[in-house]
Amino acid sequence: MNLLKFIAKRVLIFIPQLFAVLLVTFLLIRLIPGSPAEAMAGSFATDEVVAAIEEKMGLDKSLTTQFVMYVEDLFHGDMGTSWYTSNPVTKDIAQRFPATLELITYSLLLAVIIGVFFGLATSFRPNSIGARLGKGYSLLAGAMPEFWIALLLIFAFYVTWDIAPAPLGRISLSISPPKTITGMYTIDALLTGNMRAFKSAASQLVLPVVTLGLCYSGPIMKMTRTIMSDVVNANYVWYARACGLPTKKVNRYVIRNGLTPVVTFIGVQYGYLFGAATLIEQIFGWGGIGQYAVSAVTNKDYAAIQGFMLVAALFCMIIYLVVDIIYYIIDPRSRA
Amino acid sequence: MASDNGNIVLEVKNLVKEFKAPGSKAVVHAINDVSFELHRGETLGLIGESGSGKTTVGRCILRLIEPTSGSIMYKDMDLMKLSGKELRKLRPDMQMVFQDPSNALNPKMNVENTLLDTLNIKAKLSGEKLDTDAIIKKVLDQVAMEEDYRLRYPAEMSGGYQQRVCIARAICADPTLVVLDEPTSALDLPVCAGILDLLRRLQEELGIAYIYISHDLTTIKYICHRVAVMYLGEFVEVGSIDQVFNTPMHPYSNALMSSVMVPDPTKKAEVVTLEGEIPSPINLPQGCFFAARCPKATEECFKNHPQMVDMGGGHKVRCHRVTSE
Repeated sequence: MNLLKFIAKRVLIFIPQLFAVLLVTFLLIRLIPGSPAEAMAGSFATDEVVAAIEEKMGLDKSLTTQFVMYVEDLFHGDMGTSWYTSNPVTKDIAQRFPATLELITYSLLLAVIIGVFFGLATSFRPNSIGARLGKGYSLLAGAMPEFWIALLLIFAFYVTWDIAPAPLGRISLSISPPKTITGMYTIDALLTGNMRAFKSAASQLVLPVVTLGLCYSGPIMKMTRTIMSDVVNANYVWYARACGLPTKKVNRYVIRNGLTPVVTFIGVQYGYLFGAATLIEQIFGWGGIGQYAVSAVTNKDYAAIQGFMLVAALFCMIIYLVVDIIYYIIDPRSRA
Repeated sequence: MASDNGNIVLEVKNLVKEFKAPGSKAVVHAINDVSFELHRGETLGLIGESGSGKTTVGRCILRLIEPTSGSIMYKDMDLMKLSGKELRKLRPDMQMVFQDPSNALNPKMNVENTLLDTLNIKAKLSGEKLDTDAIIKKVLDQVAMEEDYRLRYPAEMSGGYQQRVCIARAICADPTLVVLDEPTSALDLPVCAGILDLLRRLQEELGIAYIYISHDLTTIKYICHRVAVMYLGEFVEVGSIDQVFNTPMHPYSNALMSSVMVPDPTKKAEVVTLEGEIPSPINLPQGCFFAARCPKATEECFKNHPQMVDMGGGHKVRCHRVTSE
């Protein structure tokens, strides 16, 4: 009951936050020099032509009117139309968002498994083989940028050994994607029982997920190790041992106290990956939302940029909400 | 209170602790041959500068850190020879209070759960049934905390109250020995005085023996019956408060005592300043550990390591110059 109240309160705060994001994005993109109409009309267009296009785009109206119109449309579920894809932005995003979500969720899962495992190993048993591997690994993982790892993996597994599929999108070109339910191919394929599509989608995911997983497990591991080593040596842990509490219980205290900041960190990384996956999307021809946003920015595609920002902000807010809910569950202090 | 005959709670003999320095073959000599005994209801102060091994002694006594060699007789059992299981049974009997109370309490447990943890493990290990609710009520009263603090979390209390919880946690198991590792150094002066009074009162009521670790001479003087001065992992002087504070024999104790501020402007302080730093515990000096900084050092001091000698009345000192005079 209390939890529901807590969630409701947080969701209410979303409204002003989203509005602020909206307003700032709206104003900021209009600060970029050069009118999108000029870009669209081409370099030989006369002023009249540009003015005509501007009028068609609604850019001749005052900023306030434009903003009010935009917000009004939003309330009707309309994010405007992309000037470049000519599609409604809602449709573009609905298509591309699940692609990115699928990619970064699997990547984060992999990163968390590797990072937390090595992090715990290095702090609980600093002299074990796992700990030594982890230390070496964290050095390597932080040293190479993700696009480089991606290229290396493609070179090794696709070009040289030919065990991975070509880095060309989310599913083999010869296989039709599964019926859209969530938009995430692996899940949709499983839901519809389309094993052929599932196999193809999963194999396309392997290289980009491994790339991001390797890159992002490094920081998670370092974070886990730092926090855990502190907690392992905290005086209350010494006390618990001094008082004769069973090792299992002592370890539970350590993990419960140590993992809470790690949960926050993982949440932040999730939000960060949403934009940071763009490079990887580019390399693997993923067609995700990051790529969409980058082309929207280079083309001054106002509606598309605004749409992306809104979705990105909402995504981060939901993640932080989930992090807070997890906190609520594992940390009795936040319930008071 | 401290009687010389019998009633010995703890007798430590030739305690040695060596750590391997990480990443090299060097050995850190944290404790070198420490021996002492502690009576029921007595407070022994361990004093020394940072890195002198005070905290390590405290933790070795409870075998939280495994000593390298030596014997620790607790009542009539040698803690060093006990198995893990037997030792665990004794654990609630020997309690510990730490320096930084905010770090010594599990931030995710309120006062009640903190105390219950200790009480439940004691009940489980000893097999006796405890009326935990009544005990919690009693100890909170003993440490002068109101009932409504029961459900508070550490972050919702001041440092003084956090330390009271730590003390309540230590005494709720009805221990015979409590190791107090700088229990007041993280606290404000008035709070510190309150905690010291509390510790003294509890000792009188419950007859607990304390090992009080500190580098603060004034609190040592206030709360301890006997005091041991530590330097580079060994005792250089042991005696009653009166002996060590008023007639210090070891040149190091002498320098320490002269650094105490006296709240009397008419008294002119004769401060003995020491040159240099405490030597590295990795390469121990061959002779007296203190020789390089000692104003009285002679050739012998650099050659032979002095032994602890009883100068009468339990006042022991480790110094060639004092014992040869």
